[in-house]
Amino acid sequence: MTARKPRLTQNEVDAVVINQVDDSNAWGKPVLVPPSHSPRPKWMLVRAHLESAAKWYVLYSLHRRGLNASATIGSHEAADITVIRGAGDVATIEVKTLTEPLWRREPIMAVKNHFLVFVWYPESPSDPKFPPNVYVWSSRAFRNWLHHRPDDTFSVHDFNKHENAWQTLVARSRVHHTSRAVSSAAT
Amino acid sequence: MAEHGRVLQHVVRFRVPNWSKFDASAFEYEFASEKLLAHGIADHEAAQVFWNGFRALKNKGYRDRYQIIGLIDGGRPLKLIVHVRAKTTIRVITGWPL
Repeated sequence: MTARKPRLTQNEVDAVVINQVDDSNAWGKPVLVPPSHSPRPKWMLVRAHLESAAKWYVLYSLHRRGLNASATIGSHEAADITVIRGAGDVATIEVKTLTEPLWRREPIMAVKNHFLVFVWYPESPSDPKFPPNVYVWSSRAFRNWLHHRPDDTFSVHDFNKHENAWQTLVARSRVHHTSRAVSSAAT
Repeated sequence: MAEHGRVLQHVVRFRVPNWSKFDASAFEYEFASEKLLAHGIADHEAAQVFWNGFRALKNKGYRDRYQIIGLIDGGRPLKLIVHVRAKTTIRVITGWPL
């Protein structure tokens, strides 16, 4: 008589399957599934469109401030926008779109010259009359701020000090140009 | 005994999706959003994979669990682990960017 396989809960099965992800013996042959031509549900489109709108709104805001910014296509997922601030001085921006006044903790890239811009649509997201609220953080400052907080969700009101803090990006640019001007004047 | 075998076969056939006739809009989707977000994947990005075409690999031990490999709209490849429930719901358990 063979031992009966113990009945696992859904979460236990999930854990087993996740552990097998890199074990090629645990999986059958791949079946190629063609693209679906049926329309996508509205919730998918709204979210994707909002993300695009947020990205282009940030780009628009940077251009209005005279910064040399470009959208990146197909590069690292953490860099949606690059800003050329001077020779050898490039900043990258990751745009985070919020559809509710909350941000849920997720891994972030925190390196020098990398910024996080949170875009939240406080009014009806589908009404273009209302511009979004924008919160600009240096990624390192954001990481340090997060480090002291154990929570998994944060209200956008916690970000109020960083609302429209575009100077975080611009100020660094000025410092860079000033230091270059000083060093070139000295030589 | 033969009758019992036929019934079992019927049940198994009911639970396994026919990938060659797969229509993404015929399913409902559930997402383990926290696990996906922890790997930098938004729910709608995981869903895009099902509309863009993908490779499905069935788990040998748990035949309603699949590994799905495909692209989001922006071209980023993802690997998802999903649970197909009663041919009507796809529950995305977790996923990783490749």
